[in-house]
Amino acid sequence: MATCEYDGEFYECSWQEKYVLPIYDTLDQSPLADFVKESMTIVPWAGTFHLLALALLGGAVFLVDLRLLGAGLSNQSPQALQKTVSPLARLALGAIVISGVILALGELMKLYYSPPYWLKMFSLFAAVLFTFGVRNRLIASEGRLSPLIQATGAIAIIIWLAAFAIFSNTLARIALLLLLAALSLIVWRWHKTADTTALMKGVAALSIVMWLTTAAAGRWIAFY
Amino acid sequence: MRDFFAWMNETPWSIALRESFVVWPVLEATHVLTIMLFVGTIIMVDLRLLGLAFRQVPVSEMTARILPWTIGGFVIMMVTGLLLFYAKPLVYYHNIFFRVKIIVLLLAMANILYFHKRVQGNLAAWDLSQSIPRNARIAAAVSLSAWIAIVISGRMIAYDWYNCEKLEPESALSWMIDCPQRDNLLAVQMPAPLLAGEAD
Repeated sequence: MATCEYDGEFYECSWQEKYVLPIYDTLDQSPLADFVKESMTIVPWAGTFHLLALALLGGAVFLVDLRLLGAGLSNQSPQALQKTVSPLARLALGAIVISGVILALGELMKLYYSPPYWLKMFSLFAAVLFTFGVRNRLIASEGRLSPLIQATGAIAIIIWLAAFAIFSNTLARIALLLLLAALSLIVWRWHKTADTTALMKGVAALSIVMWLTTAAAGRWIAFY
Repeated sequence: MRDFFAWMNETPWSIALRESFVVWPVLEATHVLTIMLFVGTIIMVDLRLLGLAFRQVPVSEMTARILPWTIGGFVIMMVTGLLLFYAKPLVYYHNIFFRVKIIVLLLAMANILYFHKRVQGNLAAWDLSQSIPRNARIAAAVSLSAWIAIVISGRMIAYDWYNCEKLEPESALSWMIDCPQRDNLLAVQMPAPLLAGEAD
């Protein structure tokens, strides 16, 4: 808890209200946010680019994850595949962040009070950390864990789990169980064609889970 | 056709679906998220055919190992898409972006047929080759542009700029999306309230 001040009066408030809300409030009052809100076309086009970038990101991330699970381009080495899709993944991530910031400028105060938005943001952070800092490094080291990979992985998983526990609802938890069932099915169906270690398969599955959580939570902002 | 969709619009299941606080958003979110699988994988196959990426991967490996995922994604897209349409048939029937999306979708599907019948036949001859036949590259370019156009028009369906009630009656656009015209405007019920607050 923290102490906030309004019009000379002090009152108890959460630390988010004290430190995060003013940032959103200030940004929401900025000329840039006004510009986005006043335009008829910026938000629809940013939304469109957000979706196109999501598609590209999905392809680039899943192609490597499926390969690690034995369900994709099994004749290609994970290293070569990762190298091929890497520029596409970075391009998609850049486009999704830029279009996402523009979209956010159009409805900052709604987002501040939206649990799906916070789940999306924390899950995005965890997914980026996990895919680039754990999965890709593990592919490069041919499955050998280093302390750095372990630490990065632990941080990403803790952030994702905590965000999911705090911000998800029953529906999201049911959806997660269904997703885990589908992934188990993929592992079971293709385990014979997988030449990767159990660790790499788990990492690939977790990467899929984190990105789908991010995307689903992102879509849910509109429904909440 | 409008009468049929107007009838469909009033069937109990259609009403239940569009008024559901859980099922409709779940269907819509699934439809949108499947973009990652469906459009995501199709982009990769098209980039391979265009020779822009995965040049070391045989085309046959792309089609054998990646296209099944694309087809799986397509099935999810179609099932959720049809159910979403069934929930609000009149809204989509009168939506210009929906009509554009369906037309481009038909073009994309014709292109897939063309690829399978005419292009893939002699695949063995250029499977690993760095120079991909012209018709294969054209099919890939058509596919890529068509799916991008489908995503754009699909996203724009949510916006009501060109809805019947905003168009000048008897204008070309109003005629194109079969809006009820002035003389019978009151006689036909309009789905106008359905789109309120839906632009998110």
